[in-house]
Amino acid sequence: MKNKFLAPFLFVVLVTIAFEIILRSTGIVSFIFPRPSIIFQELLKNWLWILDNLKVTLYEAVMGFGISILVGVALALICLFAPFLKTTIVPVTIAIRNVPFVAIAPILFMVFGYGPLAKIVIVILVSFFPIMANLLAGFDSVNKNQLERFFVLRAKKWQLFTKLQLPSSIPYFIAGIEVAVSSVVIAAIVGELMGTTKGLGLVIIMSVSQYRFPLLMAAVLVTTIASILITWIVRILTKLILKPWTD
Amino acid sequence: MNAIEIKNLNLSFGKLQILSNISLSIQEGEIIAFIGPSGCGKSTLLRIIAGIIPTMIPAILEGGISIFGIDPINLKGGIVDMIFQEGNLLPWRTSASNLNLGLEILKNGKDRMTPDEMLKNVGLTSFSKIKPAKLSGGMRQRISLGASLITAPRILLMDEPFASLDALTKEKMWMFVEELKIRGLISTAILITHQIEEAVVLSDTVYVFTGRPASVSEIVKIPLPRPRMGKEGIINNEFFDIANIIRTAIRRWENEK
Repeated sequence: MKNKFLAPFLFVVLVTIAFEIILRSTGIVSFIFPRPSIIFQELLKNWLWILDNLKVTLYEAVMGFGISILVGVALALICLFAPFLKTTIVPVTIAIRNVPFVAIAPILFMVFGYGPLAKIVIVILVSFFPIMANLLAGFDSVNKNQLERFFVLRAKKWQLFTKLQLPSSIPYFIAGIEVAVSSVVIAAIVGELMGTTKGLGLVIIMSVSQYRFPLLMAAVLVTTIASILITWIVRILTKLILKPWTD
Repeated sequence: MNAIEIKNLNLSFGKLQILSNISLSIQEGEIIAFIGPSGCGKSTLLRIIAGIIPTMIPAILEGGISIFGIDPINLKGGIVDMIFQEGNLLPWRTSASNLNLGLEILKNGKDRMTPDEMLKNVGLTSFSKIKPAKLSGGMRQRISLGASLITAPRILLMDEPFASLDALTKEKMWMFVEELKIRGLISTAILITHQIEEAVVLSDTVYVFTGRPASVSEIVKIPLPRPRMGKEGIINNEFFDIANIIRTAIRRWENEK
């Protein structure tokens, strides 16, 4: 268990030290490529401001992700219980998934404003699909023989659903959640980059426009860590909650 | 009344004929074995008896079939149960919980065995809380049998239940099924198998099928007393004579082909 975290941690530390040494020895100015030590200094100096904005981004990502789960599950259930709607829902969701939201961002901002709501919508648009698609694959994955046995026992539709289809699809659901969560923070930030009043996107926009590249890198670092942490926490939570249904 | 009565049954999927003019009658309490070439339609016939065809899988069905006088499509739950090669177990449920599944679905636990009693019957009392992945192949099939028998179905359909087990475990399972039969836990049953010895140990009548479209080419009665499979294995000459009759019947069709 210890080694699982130790190796990647050591790797990051080594890469950081290597960058520090290379950048110092080559004399590349920190204005163009800031050294890790300068990035950390910048991070500490602006910590409260970054934290304040991180909260907003995390709020958008987590809210959007939570609603994504609801939307993804709801759509998958509709497809399961009303198969005639599946032929409409699936292509439409694929189309929505493929809309470049940079293009529709102005519309989203007009409708939902420049606050967190528009970003939450963008996060939902990005992350509901893998949850829905994986759940649908899970429902289809039900063992044929088990399906036959449930039929022979004349199981009711809800019994079939609660005792066979839903538990069978749990591993697929977990996979869908993991794919979806890995892109929620970045979706929120990309949303913010297109127009915002707060959030890590704002930190990035401001540092770029003021040529404060160490600050930019600090924001990028925080974004990465936040993204990894969210993915990690969600993975542990999902596995913990759904443990009884995995073999 | 016969447990299963089939008269002049024909079945085709579109233009592809699978079963041709099948007639058979099975008395209550009999164990029947279906033996014949792979893919001839034995499993299809089993699924017609279970009502799966044509309800779940559409097909063109002609002729008569009744289970205790009722069309299989109209049977209520619990009359028939099935067990498959890979078993019946849901991987996320423990042994006890898997045994309980049938009772949960049928909602008539009265006068039925409890999962604990059934665990005792299948000789796996200490495996109550274990999930299938941690059981051996033989144990899994024991629990599967228990899971089907707990609701006391009047007809048990077995689709090559021991095909994936090793030879030794398979023989142990034969002894186990015989024991369940002698103790009255198995009533009427149909067993699909590719192994002649299995058919002779377990069944009272063997139906030999031709290749597709399948029809019954020979019916062989097995009058041997139970238990046929002793601890020493099979040492009865009569047993081998019957096995050879079945073998000849299967080869006759192969040669005529």
